[in-house]
Order: sequence, then structure tokens, then C-alpha cells
Amino acid sequence: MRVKFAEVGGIPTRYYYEGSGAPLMLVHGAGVSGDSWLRNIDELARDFSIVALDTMGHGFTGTGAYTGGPPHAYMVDHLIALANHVGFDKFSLAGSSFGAMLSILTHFKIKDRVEKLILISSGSSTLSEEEHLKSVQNAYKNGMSAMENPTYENCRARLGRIFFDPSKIPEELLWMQVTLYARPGVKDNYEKRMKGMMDPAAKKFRVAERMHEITVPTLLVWGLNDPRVIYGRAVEAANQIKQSTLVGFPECGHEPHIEHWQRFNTVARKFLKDEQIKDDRQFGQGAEFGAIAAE
Amino acid sequence: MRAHFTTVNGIRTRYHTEGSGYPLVLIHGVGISSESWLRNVDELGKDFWVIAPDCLGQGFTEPGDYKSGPPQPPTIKHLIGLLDQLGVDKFAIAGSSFGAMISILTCFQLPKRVEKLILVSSGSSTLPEVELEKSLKESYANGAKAYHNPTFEVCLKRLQNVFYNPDDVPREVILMQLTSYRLPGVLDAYETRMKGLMDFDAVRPYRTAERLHEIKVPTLLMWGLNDPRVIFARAQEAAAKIERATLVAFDKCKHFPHMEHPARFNRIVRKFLKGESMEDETRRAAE
Repeated sequence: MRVKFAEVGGIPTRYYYEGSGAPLMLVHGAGVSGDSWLRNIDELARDFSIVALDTMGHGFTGTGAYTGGPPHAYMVDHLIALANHVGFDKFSLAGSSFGAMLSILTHFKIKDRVEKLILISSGSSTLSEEEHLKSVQNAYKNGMSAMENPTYENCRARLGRIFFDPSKIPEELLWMQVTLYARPGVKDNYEKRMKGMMDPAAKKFRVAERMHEITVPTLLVWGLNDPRVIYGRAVEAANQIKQSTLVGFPECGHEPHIEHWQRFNTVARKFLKDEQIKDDRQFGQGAEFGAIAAE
Repeated sequence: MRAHFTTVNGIRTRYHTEGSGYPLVLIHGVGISSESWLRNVDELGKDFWVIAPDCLGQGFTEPGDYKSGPPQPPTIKHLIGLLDQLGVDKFAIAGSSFGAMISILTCFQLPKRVEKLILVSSGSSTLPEVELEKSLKESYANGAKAYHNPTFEVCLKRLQNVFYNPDDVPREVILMQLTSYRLPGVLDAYETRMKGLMDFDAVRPYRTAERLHEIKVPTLLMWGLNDPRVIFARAQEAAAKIERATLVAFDKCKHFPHMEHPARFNRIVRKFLKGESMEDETRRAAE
């Protein structure tokens, strides 16, 4: 994997890229960065052209014109600008947490350009308004515990609260966060975006009630021990989506693509290549997870 | 342990830090940055105030005005600027590779403030010109590959060349390099620095190999026995020239004792800084 810095949609942007073939963009969640895909980029790049961006205001990507309020539209526009910049005409999207919501919103905006969706453990996309507010409040509190004083220990503890097995947290990611969160303005930007997500004005960006509008094949990967989501809501969402596959990951928190990266990479590849996957709803919770090789 | 960003003489600067009390400054070598002390900052931070900066034009520290010539003067000026900003008065300084040369020169420049020196695997400080030229060319060939095409694989292989056990290369360092090598101006800064170092007429005034006898402070030298960049015999010669020198050999170790054998490295540094007996450590080359 490798990094590029570029001006995209007027915003200084960092992204990871690797591979060639069918394009796949990886979209991280709120308060983290493109580095979260460090266990996926090179693996998936064997079959696909991968781009893993730092979304607006995250990682090493700037905030551009955004000064507060719901960040969704800014982030989607920036994402689309990057897709154009790297020459992704038709592409698939894999989004983690809030990144899944951004992926769905991108699909709604540029309908025919998005070929498939992978939604990873996303409360933003599936919880009720009340449930989502509570979840974001917890995420915000957790994120601030690291950003207020970004010691290595605080960064580790923050992620530890959302991993089933904290020993699976990659050291590389923590080291990156120690630098990322030390930069001036990071905490304030994080605060603005999280408050923007909790803003009543964000209601118009909700997708939980619009799942039936998704017209492309969609894979949902859900951590069965993820405190930020409710499995039942994933089932409801999958049932709303015409071509959906639901795979629960047991012994897994909020970051299946990190915590069980080999299984995630395998199921993502299978899905993108139209191979058969055991859906939880037919074969039982975590059936596909059990069927694919462990790390 | 945490990182900080600050501005020193208008130059945006990153440093890692941990601990309180007596200041210990850690200076990385060329083509790498303060992450390379990742196995040492927290441990040594238990007893000392550890400050590990990214030197001028490296890691996440900007190059400032440095555009040509010997890198030593602007690097040292920037370092002293940072230490002054942090309120560091008297301190010990440890340098790896070229960082050891910077440490010695800083000691010469601030004789009242540098109290102890730690020199780790440093050809720059100890090799005669002809041998240093060869060593720098090899280092440049190795490093340039990574700077020009910083993929994970390329950056990993580059460091594996100078580690005794390739599995010991910290992946944390590699991930940071993927980004830091792509920051605007970083490639140019590396080229400028290496060209500056290989202009032997221009850097001659900054050589330390012929001035080692001038070092009056207690000095600890730590050297890998398998270092391709500088043979161990040169470390023995250097130690012999320094009045109050202690030399500790590291077996099964190439260019980075502090990353390759961190537990032993940290223990020895702590003993040295606390003025404890080093006899145990000098008698052997491993744990």
C-alpha cells in the first residue's frame, strides 16, 4: 500500500491506494482515518483497485469550507471529488460505521456509478433516531478521551472499548493516532463534526428509513459484540434491501475489518466476485464467519 | 508517551515525549524519524524526561530554509531552539547513526549544558573519510529506494537490510513512513541532506572522528557487532580516544540496537545515566 497527498475538491487530501482492477473505495468511520484499513488494503489490492481515503476533516485531510453543522453533504461531495480525481467511474464502496452511511448517501447521489455496497457495523445507517443519538454521544465521549490528551495509552484505551479483543488493536494504528491527534485543531474539528452528527438538522441525511431505495447488491458485516450497533436493526435493514447479504461476526466489536481482518477480506472478496455467501438469516448467525478460515 | 507539534524558529516541529525529571534527548539518524525510538521512550520515561524530536526536514518536521550545503549547522540550530523552548537546561543526549554526530557537535557547542553522551552505531562520528563515503553511498542507495517509491513492501525491505532479524523491524515505523515520505518537500529535503553529507569538502569542518579526544563528558557507546554501516573495530578505536568512554557491544545486532534489543538497550542507558556500574554489561554482548 502507498500514500498520496492531493488537492481534491479544494481540500488537501491524503489517501492510501494500491492494486488494479475493479475499483473499490474504503470509507472509514467518524473519528478515525484511512489508516484503519491497514489490514485490508494490500490483501484486497490483489483483486481490486483500492483507494482508502481520509474523509473530510479526518486523518491528514483538511476541512475545506466546512465550519460546523451536519458534515454529511461536505463529506459526500469530497468523496465523489476524490473518486473523480482517481478516475473511478463505476466503483464499489465499503464503509465502516459512519463511513457506511456516507457510502449509502453517495450511492443515492451518483446512483449508477456505485456498483456494490459493503456496510460494516453501522449504527448511523440503521438505528432509530433515539438509539443513534445515544450511540453517537457514547462514541463522542470515547473519542474525546483520546483527543483531549492523545497519549499512546489513551488511544489504546479508546479503541479497547469498542474491540471484543483489545489485543487485536494494531500497534501501527495507535502510533499513527498519537501523531494525528497531536496536530493543532484536531480536537476542535472532531467536536464540530460530532455535534453536527447530533444536530437535529442532520435528520434529513438519515438512511435507516430509506434502505429500500438501495438498488445495488449490498453486503452487511456486523460485529456481534459491537456496542455501537444493534444486530436486530441490521436484520431489518437487510430485509429492506432487495439484494442483500448479512454476515454477523462473532467475538467481534465495532471494527470487523480490523479485528477479524482475514475473514473480512475473504468475505469482501467473495461478495465483490459474486460468490456464494452464507447469509445469517438463512444459515444462522455467523454461519459464513464460521465457514471461512480463521486468522 | 505522546507526540507534540510546536513551532521552532518558524519551523513546524514534531517530537515524542514521556516522563519528567532529568532530560534525555534522543536524536534519530538520517532517513528515519523519532518513531525509531518507539521501544525506548516509555521505558526510559519512567526515570527521565525523554524528548525525541524529528530533526530538521525529517519525519513531520519541516525543512525550513535548509536547501543546500552541510545539514549539521541548521539541524543543530533547530534542535537547540526546541530544547530552549522546552526549558531544557542541562541534559544528556543520545544519537543513533548520524544523530550521534549531531549529539557530539551539540556537546561541543553547549559544553555547559550537555552532561553525558550516548553514541549508538555511528559511522558518521567515527569513520575515516574514505570509509564514510562508502557507507553513505550504501545508505543513500538503500534510503533513496524507499523515498522514491514508499510502498509498505519497499520501506520494510529497506529497513530489513539493516536489521539482524528482519522480523524485528517495527511495522509502526513503516506505516508512519508511508505518509511522512509523501509530505510535500520531504523527498527534496532527503536528497539535499544526503548530497550535503556527501560533499566532503564542505562537511569537513563538521567531522568528529578526529576530535573525539575533545569529548570530556562521560560517553556511552553502543554498537551492533553485525552492523554493515560501520565495523565494530571503529567503535573500539573511538572509545579508546574518548577520555571517559564505556563501550557496550550488541551481538546479533546490525544498525539499530535500540530497536533490535530494546530491553537491554534501555537497561544499559538507565544504568549509565544513573552512574551505576557498567561492568556486567561491558563484559558480554547479549542479555
